[in-house]
Amino acid sequence: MTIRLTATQLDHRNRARQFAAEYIAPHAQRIDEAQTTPASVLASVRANGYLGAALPAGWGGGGMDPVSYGLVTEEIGKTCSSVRSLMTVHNMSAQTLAKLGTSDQRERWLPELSTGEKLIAFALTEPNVGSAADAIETEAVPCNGGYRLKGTKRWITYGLAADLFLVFAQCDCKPTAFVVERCADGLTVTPIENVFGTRGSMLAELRFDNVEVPTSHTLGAIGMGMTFVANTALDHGRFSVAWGSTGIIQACLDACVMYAEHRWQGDRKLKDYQLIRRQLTDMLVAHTTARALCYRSACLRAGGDPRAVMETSMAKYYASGAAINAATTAVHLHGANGCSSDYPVSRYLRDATVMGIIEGTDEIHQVSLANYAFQRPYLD
Amino acid sequence: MPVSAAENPAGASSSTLTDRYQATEVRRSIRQFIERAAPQGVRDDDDIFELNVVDSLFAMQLVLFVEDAFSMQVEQHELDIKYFSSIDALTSFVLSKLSVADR
Repeated sequence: MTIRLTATQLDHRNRARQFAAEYIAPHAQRIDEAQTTPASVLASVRANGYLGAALPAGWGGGGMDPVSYGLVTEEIGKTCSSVRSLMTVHNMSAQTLAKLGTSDQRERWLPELSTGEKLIAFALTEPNVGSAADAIETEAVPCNGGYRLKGTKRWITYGLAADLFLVFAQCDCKPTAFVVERCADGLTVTPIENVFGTRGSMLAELRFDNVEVPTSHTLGAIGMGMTFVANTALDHGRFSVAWGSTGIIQACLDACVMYAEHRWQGDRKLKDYQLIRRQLTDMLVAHTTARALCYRSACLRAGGDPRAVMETSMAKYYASGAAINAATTAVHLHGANGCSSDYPVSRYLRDATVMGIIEGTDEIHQVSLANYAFQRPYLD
Repeated sequence: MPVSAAENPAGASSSTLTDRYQATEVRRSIRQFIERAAPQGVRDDDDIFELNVVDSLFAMQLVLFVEDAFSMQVEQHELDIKYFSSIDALTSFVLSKLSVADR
């Protein structure tokens, strides 16, 4: 495995860094405070091709390799976790459609999803169901020529902006995936406000009141909704969240280095206090480690290596935890200023906390990674 | 539960298109991969998911393993747990795809 970036990968990273600085950074604080993503920011993400960045070029997507896509995600995630979460949910759902969809489904939806003309959100979580996803309560009852969906989905990222939803429901007690269009009769989309972190991610609750979905909108086989469809999407989502969390660590480090260089306490700058220097060291090592795990995951994914699934889980688990630690340290290092909205570090801490919950809680990853340990991957 | 020839997605009997050596090697390779996750050992017809020998993420690993080890693409309509649930089922699935590729 090499971590020397190619010219193309460097170009993707540099362009994303410049894009984030010009088009997202000026809005990041406002996105958090207003709890929404302005249409102009959505339009700029779309116009620069980041919504379909990882989708096949044949459908109009960016066709980025995993390392390039990861680097772009880190740069966006460093700047604004809400906008990064838009990229996450759209790409994870659209990539799943690209991999598991029938040729008719791909032709119907992928061109507009690749350009970002249409947005797709991932609708798995319910009011009573989180980690134990097999127990979803939404039902899909067969009716003439399709299914009738009844139930409620909650915490749906960018649900307020999405045109399509990848929805999971029990079909005769077998978890099954469906693509549902927002305009479907009986679907009600309600905003969820005042959340703790990634506050601009336009969360929604979806209510399905006998929403009719044709058979042609079933994604994957009946009963394979969790094993293959949700797991495929979540695998892509974890990859994105791992890089996004690495971006948060980078943002914390950047903020702390700048603060320590300029902030005086007594007769010295903060950077000259040994305990402050230790905090910067720990943050730097955490960022380097998280990024190394992300690179490893990306390289394994690029090569179609079976270890990619669990190594992606490992990258997400480590990076999200390290982001929480780094953001906690960053708030402390800033003192009272860290608790104020005059500095971004409190936003980083709130956003990092969300990273440890989405796409599998820390506890879920601890259980599955322990299973992986028994495969003895460390001997490879 | 082994996959019958009627359930074979490629629609062909493996025994008529592959030799015994290939079948043995495919089975050995699959067993070796599965037993990494289930070192206590599994029988050829054990349903590894129903017995909770492995978790659901292992199904994703199995798909990647098959594609990587046997240089084949698992198509979207083949992503059904019945083809991945046991050493017998997966061996039949892989041999049927190899036999189609050999035609």
